Parts: sequence; structure tokens; C-alpha cells
Amino acid sequence: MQRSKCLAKDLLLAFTNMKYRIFKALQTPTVSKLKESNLEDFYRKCPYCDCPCDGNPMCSTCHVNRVYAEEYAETFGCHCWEKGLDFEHDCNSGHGMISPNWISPAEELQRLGLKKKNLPENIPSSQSHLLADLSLPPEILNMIFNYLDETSLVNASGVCRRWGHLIRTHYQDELWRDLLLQRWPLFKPSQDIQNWLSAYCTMMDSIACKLCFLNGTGDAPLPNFNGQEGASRETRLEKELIGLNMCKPKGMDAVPVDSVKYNWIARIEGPMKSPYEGGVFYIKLTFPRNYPYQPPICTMLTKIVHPSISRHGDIGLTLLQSRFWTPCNTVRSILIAIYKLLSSPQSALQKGSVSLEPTVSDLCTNNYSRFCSLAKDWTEQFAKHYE
Amino acid sequence: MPVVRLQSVDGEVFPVDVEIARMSFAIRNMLDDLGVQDNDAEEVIPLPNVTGPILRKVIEWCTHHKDDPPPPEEDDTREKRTDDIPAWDQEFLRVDQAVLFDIILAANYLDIKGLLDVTCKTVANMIKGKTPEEIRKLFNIKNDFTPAEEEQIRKENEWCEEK
Repeated sequence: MQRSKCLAKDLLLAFTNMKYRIFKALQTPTVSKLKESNLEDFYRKCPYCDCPCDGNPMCSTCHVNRVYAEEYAETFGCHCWEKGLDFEHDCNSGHGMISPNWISPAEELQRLGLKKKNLPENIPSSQSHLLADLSLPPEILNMIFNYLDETSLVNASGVCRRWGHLIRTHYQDELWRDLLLQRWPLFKPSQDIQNWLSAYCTMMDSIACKLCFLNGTGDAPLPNFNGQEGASRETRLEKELIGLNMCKPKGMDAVPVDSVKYNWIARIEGPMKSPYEGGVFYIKLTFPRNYPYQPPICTMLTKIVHPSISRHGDIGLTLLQSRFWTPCNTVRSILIAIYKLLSSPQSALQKGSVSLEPTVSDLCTNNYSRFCSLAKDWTEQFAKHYE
Repeated sequence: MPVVRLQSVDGEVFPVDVEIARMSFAIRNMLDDLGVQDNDAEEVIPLPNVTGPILRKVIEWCTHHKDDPPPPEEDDTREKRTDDIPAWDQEFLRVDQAVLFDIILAANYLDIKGLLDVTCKTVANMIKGKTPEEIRKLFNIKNDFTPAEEEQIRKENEWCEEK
């Protein structure tokens, strides 16, 4: 019974994957080509669980993406997309990391056939009952920690005193400062930062989709264009960068974070007299192979309450959609459009933008003051760190 | 092929090809320092920190990897890949956790860089993507933080524990 249920679950997932791939192939052939390189493998691995990510950006907070919503609801019993917007993100189904009933595809394979082969060899050990943290000397633990990514490192520091102490002494504050500045190149703290690890954690906490963020900043792998990029891409981006540096629009900035200018990070200060005043919002722009003939993919990184910005960070500007995109748009015009979007949330219902969070749009139209207080709350909570 | 004899702590003696034994820098240094000649077949090298079953595993690994190019010099970059463990090694290291730690300790003592790297990567992969509680459970580690400390850590680390 249990087994057939699992099989059905696997089939369902496989089917979903296939369906999505066909859908994606029909929609945007260029994107799938882009990912032929090692990027594809990287995206497939979800740092939060062993789930099939399929290159589709996913919200790490509630861990569901729209394409999969129905299937996930059925498979994992998570209905958080259907419930409308839950501002606390209280997704209790726990399908993200630690569901007791959730079986990863890898485990499932193991259960189905490979089990016999994978049984551990029976070798007597000199220390079968010793605690692991006592049996390994610090130099070896440090060697192991060297292989951990930032998220796992932070988690490992909370395991026990000894690990915490080792990690905090081995990876000093400078490392966390470097990591923070690497991920947020436009971070401009207005105060002295005493504890960079804690600052790093606070900043990370303000990111809506950590998966998208981690995949687009720091030393995330780059796509291999194989010389197939549009002839004008490089010159055009170079020009835009020079132009932007010469004369920055007030309260806005953007820099490429890698050598091929694939991912950019932009920083927009919340417009005056809007509920976002005083906050600083980070945006990721990903420039495809054939930019400027295709729009960049823009994602709001900072958590925000806005009718046209989904909780995952997708920005509902029509000018960013392939159908409406024209090559005369630039980084600057995109930033200005996003700034305008922030300065008047009500315009989400007007021309030029679409509503991505229906519940927020309703709130914005019917009870603007309540919307404002919510948006201000979130700005206070997630967009005002150290800046 | 000349042979050296390695003796584990429990008295078991393993005859090993010199070329394979020399993959361990500790044994290589010992052989060089002692000036052991290739024909001193009766010479026994005692390894007081390694048990027989573990030594057998280590020799098995070294035999399989005897033709590998020497591992590159240590570079200080923190980010390193952990998804490049060869299939044979993955299968080889599919052992009880305590045995895995014993192999790590033996690789460290015998100074076999390749084996040490691959075992550390294996443990790192076990830690990756897990919450502190899951890591504790996995390695049977006692949580020795005070409730106040734990609250502080929980607050700081909230972002990487999200459901």
C-alpha cells in the first residue's frame, strides 16, 4: 500500500517535471538553451531539500512554485498558495526540510531496488558508541567545515558548543564581512557593524527567495554562452554600465556581479511618501544571451508587500515581458520603472503593470490605510537593516 | 614488486607493495628515514593507531587509486566542490559512520591526502542542507547549549532553517 502510494507520488512528480519542461520549451526556447551548461546542474540541486527543482525558481520560504502549486498541494498536502496571502508565511506542512513523511526521490530509488547494494559493510569499529563530535580532532572538523556552503556552515555552528566555537574562531568576522559584501556589493551600512556573522544572517533573513539569491550572487556558476551571445550584448551592457556610473538616478544603483555581466544587483531606496520610505530594496537582474532583444529577468530580492511583486519576488511590469519588451529599454529605465512602481502601489491596477498578488491588490484598493501599515511594517522589518 | 609489511595495532600484518604503501606520506617518510632497502622484506612497520579492518580498507583504497595523479597542492579558497566524489569512492565509503570516522583518522595519521579529502567531502555532504537538530541526530551529538544561548542562535540562524 505504502509502496504503491510512493510510486504514484514519484510518477506524479515525473509527470509534472515533464509537463513543465514541455511548457517551458514552448514558451522560451532561449532560456532552456541558456541552461545547457553547468548552470542547469546547479539549479537542479535545491540546497534546502532533495526535491526536483527543475531549474524553476522556487520560494524557499514556502517552497512552492506556481507551476507546481496544484501538484504539490496534492502530493504534500500544502495548500499555502490556495489560502491566499499569509503574511506570516506560516506554511505548516513542513514540506521544505523536515517533513517526517516526505521521501526524497533518491530515497525512493533506494527503497525500490538499490537497497541491497547499498547496505553498509559490517566492519567492527574501534569507537562505535563514541560521540561523533568527540571522535574527530579539531583540525579534521575544520577540514570538513571547509567544504560546507554558508548556509550549512551557519547551521553547523548551532549544533553544539564545540562546533560553534570552532566555526566562530576558524571563520572570523572578516570572512562573514567578505561574504556579505560579495553577495550585496551595494551594501552601504550607515553604522559600524560589530558582528558581521549576525549582520549576514539578518540580511539573509530579508531575502524572499534564497535559492534565487544564492544562485545569482557570490560565486555561483556562470552560464556558458559558447560564443552564441548576441553580438551587441557585451558592448551594450558595457555602455549601460558606464552611463549608469556617470550619472546615477537618485537613490538607485546597479552593478554586475560577474565577469560576463550575467547577473546584476540593483539597489533602490524606497521612494519618499510611499510606504517603502526609508527602506533599501535589492533587485537581481539576469541578462540573457540575446539581450537587448530579450528582456532581463528581474527579481525583487528583499521581502516586500506590493500588489505587483509576488512573494517570490517576481516583478509584474509589462515592460519586462517578452511581448512588450523593446531594446530601447535599459537598466536605467527598468530601475526607474520599478521605482515608480514602488512610489505608487495603487498603479498596480493601471496600465504598465499587472497584479501578482491578488490579495494584496484587493487590500490596496479596498483598505489603503491597512495596506500602508502592512507595507510599512515589512519595510521596517526587512528593508531597514543597517542602512 | 618489493613489498613492505604493515602491522596494525591488533597485530595483523599486511604485506603491501612499496609503491602503494608510499602513497602514505607517513610511511614514505618512515621508509626514507629508516633507509629501508627494497629487499628488506622482513622489515615490519608497526602502525599503532590503526586497527586491522580499517587498515584493510585503507589499503584497498590505495590499491584502487595507485595510478592517480598526485593531488594538487593545497589552495586556500574556501569554496570547494563536494559533488565530484568518484562513484567507486562513494560505494567504497558507504560504511558505518564510526568506520568512516576511523578511516578519516587513519588517513590523517598516515597522511594520505586523497583519501582524507574524499572522506571529509563525504562527511560534509552528510551535513549539508540539514538543520542543527538533524545534524545532532545524525552524528549523535549532545546539544550542550543553554536555553538562552540556543534562543540567541535560533534567532540568528532563522533564515537558514525556514520550512
